[in-house]
Amino acid sequence: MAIDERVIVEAVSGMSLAGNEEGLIPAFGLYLTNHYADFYNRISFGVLGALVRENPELTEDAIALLTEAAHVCAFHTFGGIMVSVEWDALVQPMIDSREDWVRGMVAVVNALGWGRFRVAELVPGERLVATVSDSYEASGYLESYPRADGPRCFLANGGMAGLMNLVYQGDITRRPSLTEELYREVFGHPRSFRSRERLCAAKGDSHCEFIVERMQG
Amino acid sequence: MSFHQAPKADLERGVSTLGGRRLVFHCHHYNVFLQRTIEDALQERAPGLLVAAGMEAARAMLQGLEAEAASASPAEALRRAADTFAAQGFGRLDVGLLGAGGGEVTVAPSHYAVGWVSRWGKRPTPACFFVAGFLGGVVAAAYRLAPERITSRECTCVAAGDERCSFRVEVW
Ligand SMILES: [Zn+2]
Repeated sequence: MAIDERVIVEAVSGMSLAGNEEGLIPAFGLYLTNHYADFYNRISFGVLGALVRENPELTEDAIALLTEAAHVCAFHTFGGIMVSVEWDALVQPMIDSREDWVRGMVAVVNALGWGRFRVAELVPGERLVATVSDSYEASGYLESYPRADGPRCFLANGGMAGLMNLVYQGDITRRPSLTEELYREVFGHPRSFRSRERLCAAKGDSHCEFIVERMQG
Repeated sequence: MSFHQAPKADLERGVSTLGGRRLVFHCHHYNVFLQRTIEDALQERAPGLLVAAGMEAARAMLQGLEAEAASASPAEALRRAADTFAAQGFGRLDVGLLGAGGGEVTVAPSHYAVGWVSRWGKRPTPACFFVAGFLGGVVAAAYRLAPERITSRECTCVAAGDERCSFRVEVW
């Protein structure tokens, strides 16, 4: 049985992830929010703009801060989902190979409102090329700022690296505890994965594309 | 009776909207980590950005909802905002004391305070900047006020060791 994305997207969307009596959404061992793209975009592009205006040579450092937040997000959100009972019930039965962990998680992501992700290329243990249309970061950027001179989907970019790190570096299939220690071990490894956004709608491309490869440490 | 409206989902495009604005799921780890990144980077300027962004997001969404189907009264618009806030996982708002002149609001629990404490423990100052902004946006939208007339801040916060998160919205 292969990953059936439509079944996964419809099932996750149908979980009605909405606030309980307390107004919280506990799911996958996390507290979720169905948050505003406008908020994330304004604070992310706002802090980037402020730092770069004051010190243009800090651009890479500022982007690295936002990428780090994305790595943390992927580690806990994707990791939490992949060790959850919901994953066991819905996705696990469709999994035939380790690569299906990547494909299954990409299908779940497509139910989160982040845009539509597709796996364009997946070389086991080595490389992922993923594309996104309707990225909320790129769309939000274009709505509020002039066309960018570089990619702007910092969350999606770090998220794709995080996914590969979870599957091929942290071995999420063995259901490790998602501790700070494991985070540092996985993302601090000299051969861990990093992602580069090669195409981005925010800089005028038709869609966004992420190339995820191991560092040459 | 709940005034919450379900977001509109386009599963083919991976797009979900409420009042015409995009919604995206994220967990507390990302929410509080991103906030901390911004507080570390911008220091005393961070609250200004975080509150303004919350206000902009809430006002845009609520104005969109009002354009689709207007509330019968400002009180109903406030209820709709509180129900939406709870459905989105941010916590339970008590907007009973809120009016055209602003007022006090409590949130129990608050996602941001719960998330911050679960990840890092207590902090010396209030943590729920998004909520302060959201409430300012709510008052602007419900009473059709220029946003420049509104300030909103958190007075007590569970993440700072207080018993509850409380906010003061002022209309000038
Ligand atoms: Zn992009």
